[in-house]
Amino acid sequence: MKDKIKTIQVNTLARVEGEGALRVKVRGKKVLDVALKIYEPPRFFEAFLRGRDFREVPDITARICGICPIAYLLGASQAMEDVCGVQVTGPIRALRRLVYDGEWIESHVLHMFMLHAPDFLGYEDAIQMTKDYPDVVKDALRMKKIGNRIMTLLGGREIHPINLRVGGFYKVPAKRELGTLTDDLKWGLDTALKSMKILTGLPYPDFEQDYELVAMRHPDEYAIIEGRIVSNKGIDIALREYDNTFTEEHVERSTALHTTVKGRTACLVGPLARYSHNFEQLTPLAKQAAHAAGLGPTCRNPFKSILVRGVEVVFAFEEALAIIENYEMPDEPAVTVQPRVGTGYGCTEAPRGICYHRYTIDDRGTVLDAKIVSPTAMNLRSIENDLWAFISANLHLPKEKLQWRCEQTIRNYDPCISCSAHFLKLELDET
Amino acid sequence: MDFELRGCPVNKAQLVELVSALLNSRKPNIPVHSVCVNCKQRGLVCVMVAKGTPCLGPVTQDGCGTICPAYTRGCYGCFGPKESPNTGSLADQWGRLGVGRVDRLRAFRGFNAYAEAFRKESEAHER
Repeated sequence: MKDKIKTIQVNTLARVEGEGALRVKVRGKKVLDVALKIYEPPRFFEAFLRGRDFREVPDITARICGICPIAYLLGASQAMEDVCGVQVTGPIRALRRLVYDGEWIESHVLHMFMLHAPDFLGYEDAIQMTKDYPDVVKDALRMKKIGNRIMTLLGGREIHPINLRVGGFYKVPAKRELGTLTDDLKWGLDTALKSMKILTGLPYPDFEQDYELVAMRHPDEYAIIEGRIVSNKGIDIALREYDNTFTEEHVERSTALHTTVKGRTACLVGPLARYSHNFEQLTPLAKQAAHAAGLGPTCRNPFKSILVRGVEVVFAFEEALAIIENYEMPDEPAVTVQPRVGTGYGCTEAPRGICYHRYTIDDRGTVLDAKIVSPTAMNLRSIENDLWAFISANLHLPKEKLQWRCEQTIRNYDPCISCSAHFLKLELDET
Repeated sequence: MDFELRGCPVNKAQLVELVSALLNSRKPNIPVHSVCVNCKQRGLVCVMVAKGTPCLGPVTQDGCGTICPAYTRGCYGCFGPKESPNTGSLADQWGRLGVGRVDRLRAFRGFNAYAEAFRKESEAHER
């Protein structure tokens, strides 16, 4: 008897940022097709940056994302500094890491507890979860708020901050002002460590993939704002070699480009990649939290990304406290940057993974060309690969449960569809 | 469309005010005056007068809380034009501060490039 084709179809993926859909076709025990459709309208950022002044770019690219604006502000700023031969060091650099710690905290906590945890605990959303876990949700909201506070203090506001610029900041805080964050950060660190115990008890599917894990690496620190791009399959490049190493392709099902490694295929960016490359550089309490959660020095189970995010939240709180402790207010809030003709590169570790920028400007500082690659564009192929593998191994599950797990498989990546369409809905087609 | 909240991003307090007003069938209290009014209320030093920093505050609708001048930078107009803005006069002043034609055009062609007052002013600097 010929098997029928069955379809799993999710028309509008929930608990992801932006608009996408999933359609899976299955015949008998074989997956025929997986299509992650990204139907969010393209946003043309790279095109309308042309003709702008190089100093305007960070304020514009910030608007790519309301959750990770720092990745776009800072990547663009650093690319401009690269063109103009300027290095930002000392307290200004430390403040850039501090504001990024704030972004990691607010973004990770939002995803872990509001978007991802309900998948594991069997709730439709965080509001439903609140009935049984009121303290978990309340603590998460307060942790997120502390991340926002860091961004507001340093950036002027938590969404699309206004105080970051090419060369540094418009205004830097006095040490006393930063000190007002300390009590909240200490509470956040304790609560992040406590919440790791809850996350460790969640039910994790036994699922690992042989990913090409791509992350930034820096000799002296857990890379966030600076470093080389490395992978476990041989990539070790400076930012200017990015375009020789990675390629972007247009696929009909998606308004977001798919980024792949040239000559190979999918790559994975984000918490698993960062953690697996840079585990040794985590802060002491973050390492302890990882051990206590049963994580080794690498992690290839995408469902456990929630644990790795938890470790990174511990890290971010711990690092933020250290930065504030050691901070000395600089004389100038920014380094002066004079335009010069050329091409510059910037890349930082957005909460979801590396975020690459490349700009070419003329001698007056007018932008001639722009390229921005979001982490979700880099992860799309890996998400589809995970779905192929996960569905193939789990076709015995009832359809509702399989669909639930498919959505969870996508949410493992904390995809930011709006960023990538510059990107969800599940259709399972069982013929 | 019944009401427009300005800003990229919108202001949280204004969003709460709008929802609250709608739930209670009253007019939302969303000011249409310029950023300057709030800047004066906050007692901030005018960045344009004191430091010669070009600022779109005089023609931009209040609602952000005057964040940019509070951080010593000029407003870049993300809340869009205020009620009857005198954009021409402000552009002249920017000229006197040494801002060139292309940069004046760019300033009015930001996040609210197609709002009528800003669109007309940017077009005036096109030649």
